[in-house]
Amino acid sequence: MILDQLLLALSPYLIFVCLVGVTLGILWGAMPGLSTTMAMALLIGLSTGMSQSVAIVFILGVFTGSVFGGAISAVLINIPGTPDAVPTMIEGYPLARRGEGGLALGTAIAASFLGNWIGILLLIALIPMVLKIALEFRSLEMFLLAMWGIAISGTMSAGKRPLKGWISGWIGLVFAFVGLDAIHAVPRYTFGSSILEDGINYIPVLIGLFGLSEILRVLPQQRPVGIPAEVGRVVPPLRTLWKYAGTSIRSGLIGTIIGAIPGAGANVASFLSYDIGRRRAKPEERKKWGTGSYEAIVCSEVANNANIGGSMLPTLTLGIPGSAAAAAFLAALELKNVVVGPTLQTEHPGLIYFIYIVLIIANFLMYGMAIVLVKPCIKLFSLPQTLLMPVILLICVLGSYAVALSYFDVYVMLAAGLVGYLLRRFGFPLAPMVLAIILGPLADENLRRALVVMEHKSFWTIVTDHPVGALLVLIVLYTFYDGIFRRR
Amino acid sequence: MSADNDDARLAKARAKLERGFQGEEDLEGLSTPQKDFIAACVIAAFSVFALVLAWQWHNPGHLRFTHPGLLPIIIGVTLFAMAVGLGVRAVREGGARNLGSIFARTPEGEEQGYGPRVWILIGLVTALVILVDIISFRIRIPIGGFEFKLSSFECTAIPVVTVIMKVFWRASWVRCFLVAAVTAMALAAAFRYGFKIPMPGVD
Repeated sequence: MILDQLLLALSPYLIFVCLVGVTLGILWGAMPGLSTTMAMALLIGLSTGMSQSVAIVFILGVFTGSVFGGAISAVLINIPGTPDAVPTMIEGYPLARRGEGGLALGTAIAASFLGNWIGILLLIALIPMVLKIALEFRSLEMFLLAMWGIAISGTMSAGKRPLKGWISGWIGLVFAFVGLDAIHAVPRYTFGSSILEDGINYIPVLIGLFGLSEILRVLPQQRPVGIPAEVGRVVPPLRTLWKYAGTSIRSGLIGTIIGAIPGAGANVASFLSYDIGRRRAKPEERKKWGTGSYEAIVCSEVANNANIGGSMLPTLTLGIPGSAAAAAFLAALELKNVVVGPTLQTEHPGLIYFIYIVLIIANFLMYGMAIVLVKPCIKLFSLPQTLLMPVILLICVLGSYAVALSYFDVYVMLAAGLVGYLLRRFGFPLAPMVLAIILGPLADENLRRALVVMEHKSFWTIVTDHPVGALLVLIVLYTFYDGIFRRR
Repeated sequence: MSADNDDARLAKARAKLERGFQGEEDLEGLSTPQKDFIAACVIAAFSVFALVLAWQWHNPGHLRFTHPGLLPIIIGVTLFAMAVGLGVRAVREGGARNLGSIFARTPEGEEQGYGPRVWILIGLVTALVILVDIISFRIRIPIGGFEFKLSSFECTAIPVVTVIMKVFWRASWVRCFLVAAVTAMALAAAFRYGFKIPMPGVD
């Protein structure tokens, strides 16, 4: 089975598609204002016309490329292409001003390559174990897991104000209930409209929240075009990376673990790894932090790339996206009738191996293309955002229409974009809302099923029958307790 | 001047890292007590509305646990409680005073004219979406063995995108039109011929 998937993934056409995806991802990530999540959300629409394997290869290629791409503008024009590249900017730009831009970017490329490897290897190692546990989950556990996913996503994305993250998630849940209910087919929040009886398709919501709302935020800003610093020859310094082997492994572990937590993505991973790295750095090395440290670049870049593998873990095994970008990947899979979750291995045998192999191929291509694309990227920086954003607007319209060839979805995308823009203006995060819209129906159906099964059982019987469920209740309560009392 | 800007940006990023965990989404500086207070009021009203609707749904089953409004009611109640919590904190921080500050022409930390530009953009985007929906026609021109298709999408998108580019890019009308035309036609062709996805309306 693995060999079949390997041969499929190594077919020249799929390698070419992966190369296109990685190239597009690097260029996209390098452009300030264009995030990985935005790229992923827009690509779902494009992937509707692709076969399952082509869509997976293309989207994973873009995911891998765009996470690294953010480092290019961070080092060369002092503007992070993606938010997780801020630590790389703090360290890389001073190096570029000293004429070491090529070496700084080379370090970032090598660290990203290594980070991806750590993420992929941990994913391969942990998936069988998590799938085994997930297969034991029943309705109660699935409900609690979905609710914990939304709650922790609120906590992780809103930072010091988790209440706002939870509110965003809870609003998403209300929208998730629109349509016929799964048990009795009672219309909920449909206001007599037959279109709403099918529910709100979350793909146009995703495009609106991460595509249109970003256009509304970025296009009216009058940001001057960046002037790139000297780049020099880009050489990934493998000897430097060997020097920081311990730091790399630690950062990779941080990135993967953070990636596996719903709502926490590359941004949290990169900041946390940078912070821990600074505390643990040797005194002579610590002096360089903040003014151009190669070790700091390794910390940040290894972590944010390892995050890709980590975010795939809950996405593939539990159907709970590890990050907003992973939510877009999950949406693309569902468009291809792939239902991820505990039964992934039995319902889609071999798919998981295909995903591993594609991630590895994308990583190799990212390494090569990153070296090739650094200099062409410099020319891209002269392109004003005011030129790019209207083009992306058209992709939002066509992409949301393409999902089901329904123009109603374009209106959903518009509404989601406006709501997303307003929520951001008022300081509410968007990822919990997307997660809630995806997980809402799952939570609703499983809660009601669980309650029916448990109707005549005593409290203690329920607890002894569902030890994992009891543990999850405690985890959910702790998540709220931690958010309310410890983050004040 | 550019070096000063670069240093300021680096100092801002360093200060941000010093402040510790800020969350996955960069929301720093976006909240004010006044904004939180207004958001709390709107969310409380929304949760009551959702709750009342959920309460009215009938249960075709014989078990109360299978009521279609069970989770929506729980979510409505807890959302209301969260909105109250947000509102109470906002009032404690002085959010009920000086509410007009959120409608200020140029709020603190925002560049001059940003707000009006956003409203113009929202208007143009809404116009694009509505126009593509209501205008529907197609033109087919046979060129040799190939049939060149032009749908109402391109014809509507080109003028609206030209206006968006003129407002925000500020290049000449001709340049904006040419860029809008090339990109709209290229995108439509990519979707239509590359991804085999028909354009909205008749294609």
